[in-house]
Amino acid sequence: MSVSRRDVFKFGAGSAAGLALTPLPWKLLDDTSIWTQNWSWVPKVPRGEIKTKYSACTLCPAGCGLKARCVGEQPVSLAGVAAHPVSAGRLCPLGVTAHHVAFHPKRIRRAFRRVRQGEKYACVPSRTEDATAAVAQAIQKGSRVVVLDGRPDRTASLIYRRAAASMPNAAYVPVRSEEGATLRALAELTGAAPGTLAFDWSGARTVVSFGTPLLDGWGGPGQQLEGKRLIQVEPVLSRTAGRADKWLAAKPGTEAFVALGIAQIRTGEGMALADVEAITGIRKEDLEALAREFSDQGPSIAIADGGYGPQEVRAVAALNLISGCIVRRAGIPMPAGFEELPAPAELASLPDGSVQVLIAVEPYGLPAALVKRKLAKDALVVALASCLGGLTRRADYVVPVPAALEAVCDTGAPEGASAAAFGIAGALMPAPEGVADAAAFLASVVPGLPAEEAVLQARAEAIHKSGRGQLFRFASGEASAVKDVSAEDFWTALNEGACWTDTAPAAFKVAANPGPAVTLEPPKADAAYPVTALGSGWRAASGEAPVSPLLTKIYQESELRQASDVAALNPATAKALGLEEGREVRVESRAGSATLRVALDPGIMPGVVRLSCGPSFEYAAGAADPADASLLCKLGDARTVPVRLSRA
Amino acid sequence: MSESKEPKSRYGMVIDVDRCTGCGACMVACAVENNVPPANVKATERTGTTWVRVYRLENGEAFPRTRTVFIPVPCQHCGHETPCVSVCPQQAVEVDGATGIVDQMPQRCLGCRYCMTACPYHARYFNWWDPVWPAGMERTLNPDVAPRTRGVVEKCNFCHGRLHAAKAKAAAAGKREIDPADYVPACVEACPAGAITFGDLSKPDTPVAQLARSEGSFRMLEKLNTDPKVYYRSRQPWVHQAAEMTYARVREEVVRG
Repeated sequence: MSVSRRDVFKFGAGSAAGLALTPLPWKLLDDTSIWTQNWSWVPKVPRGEIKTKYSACTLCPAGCGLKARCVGEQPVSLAGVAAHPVSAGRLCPLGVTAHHVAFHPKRIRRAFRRVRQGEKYACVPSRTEDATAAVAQAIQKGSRVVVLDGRPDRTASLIYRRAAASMPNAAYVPVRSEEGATLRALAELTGAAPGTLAFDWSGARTVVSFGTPLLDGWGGPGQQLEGKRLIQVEPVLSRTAGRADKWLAAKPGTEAFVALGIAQIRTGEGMALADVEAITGIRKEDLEALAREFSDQGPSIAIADGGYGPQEVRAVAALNLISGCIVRRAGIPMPAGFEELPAPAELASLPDGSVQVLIAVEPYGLPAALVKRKLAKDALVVALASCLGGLTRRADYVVPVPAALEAVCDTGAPEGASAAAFGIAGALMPAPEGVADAAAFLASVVPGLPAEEAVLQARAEAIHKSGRGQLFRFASGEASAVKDVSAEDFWTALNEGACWTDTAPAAFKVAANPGPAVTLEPPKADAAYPVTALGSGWRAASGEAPVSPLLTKIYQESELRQASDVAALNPATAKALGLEEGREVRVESRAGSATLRVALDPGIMPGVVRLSCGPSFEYAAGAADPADASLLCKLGDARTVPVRLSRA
Repeated sequence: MSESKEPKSRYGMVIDVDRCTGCGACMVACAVENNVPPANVKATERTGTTWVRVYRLENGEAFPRTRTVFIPVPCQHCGHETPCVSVCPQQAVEVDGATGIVDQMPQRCLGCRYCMTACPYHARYFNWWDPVWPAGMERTLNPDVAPRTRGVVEKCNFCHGRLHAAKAKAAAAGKREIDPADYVPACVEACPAGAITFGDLSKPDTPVAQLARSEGSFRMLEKLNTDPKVYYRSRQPWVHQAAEMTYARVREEVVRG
């Protein structure tokens, strides 16, 4: 039988057609998909015993309760603690990923020194002992030392204060966040001791918020607003303004004048509504309605924790004396030996050029220009940080400290809580070998300082001894009166996952006289810089504060939140300047300039550009780079900065 | 195929967009649960991987009448002529008859992206790059979910791993039905505003079924008749109108890298 070429082709074509009718090609395609997905470089998941542990998030002062699912000793996911008396089972995106900070690409595990090499700086490995020796030598010479606390109001902060008090020429300076500004101003107005006033959130019916991000990171995940009427006063449609019952768009820098208008209607001492209307752009009818609501729908809270100046905050704080929605809360009992400590100093009140030694603890979101002004020429700067960023770029020595969830520390009550609270955030992971906390560093410089854990235990003992309040255990969700729990059980429960909340605070009797009048100046127009730059940020994610790399989901990969390379404008403003979405724009102020990318947002007042204060996902930047990556530090330190925009 | 003796469920969710603050906790918690890696340096909002994505929707009015809502959009788990199922050449997509969940099997996927074209909700994501976590961070991966390689499509599966865990727990206790409290997807658990309700739509007395049937609830692109299992709620009429529109977002993309 002869086989021709045509026969071969016919056989081949017939085979191919027949094969397509069989499962074989699809099976091979299926198997090829599987074979081409088993590459060695794709990470394998961890294996081990699954455990549940409890702790608290320490990335911001809210201290939300955490339930951690762990594989072996490693947390792999975090969730809120249901029925938690302060956080109510809620977590923000930072809290959900708090266990990632320990693996941040800019994590510091070894001490290093920055040394100048000509025009540039280089980082060379060093030892913690070298930094200690340098500081000790400077103290011996009588240098002016400042301990700058980037995470104040913790038990560790008491140790830092004691350390400063023990040095011959030193001061403790907390980095005050915007949160709590209104209550601090209220304390000044009423003569109350700092930290003893709180808002009566459960009693309030109306909240008038001036630029405060109540639903975006302030005081925890926003549960204090449930069932209340919220009126937001600010120039942009922020997340809080968008969910508010009413949004009043005041021109940037004029929000506090609205408070003077309310005061005028309620007490006769403030500012005429016609003047307020001219300054803020809010109609007189809306101002009258707001003032009526503030009183008729009370008790009301007025809050201005949005980065305003002292006079602005004072104007708003004074409104609370009209509405009577404040309580006096007892502070958390102090551990023995820490009751009498010198009052903290304020950074702004230090003389310029006076700080010869700066020991900065976790210095990520500092007002860099202000810090620079206070430093003496050739000042010694030691940064104690878990990750690169912020002041570590200017430090002479950088000493590593544990990251979030790697060391025991405490949590207090966020501003959204009326009663005092205390909890222990237990370590869920071990810190890298050789990494010790900031209190240990200071103890090597100031002999005799106690260890942080010892002070935490002493504080817990003081709380237990007071007999006040309740202990809430995370695992069982049960609360018991402190007086029904032994001291040993109290300490054990706190370490295993529990928090203490004080008994309900007492109403604060408001003085009839609200205090001295405030002096407010309306912002002056600047013809050379006609646009107002407004900073927006997310408290614990500002500047170069270390956040999980997974937060690219809500920045780069979705643009849900404004990235730090974006300038957001009203479409009308962009059109007038010839700017288009996605194009580059040069933003210039008297202090500096930046080139950003335009995004259009009709919720932003015309004539305003919103800039983001972070976080940074630029992992490639070198440790030795002294440039401050914080955008607003380049443009200015104030909440609003006059700028001009042009096509880049 | 043998008939399943388990009771049939129809899992779905109701999202109250008037409560959603656009914080993004759901997006991040989903990435943690499902081992979605951080963005490649070249990723953009079009090439990133976010199994649930929160969009910001505006009412189209000029300042100061502008109003916005945030709309989380996971896979809608379409129940009628599921578009992505019918186009997949690899049978890598399947509707689970017992739960109504639309499952994606990355191991079978060959990356043709036909399903992405078919999906009217843009709820499917292609892995343009191999997954890379910062050094050491792979220790935080969820042991119940396999990471995917470059070249395959992935999407929300209502945290199917948690359903399996709930079934195992029920079986160990000798029960046929799972406790609803044991099966909560990561996004639902993480939402601090309590905007997402999840459960079995086939059981009329569950909160999710009651909300889905109540006044003010709607689904996206109802006219396409895909029968999605994700409902939304809003008191604002313009949001309901927007749900029926398809958007063409025309923007010149600045290509990076």
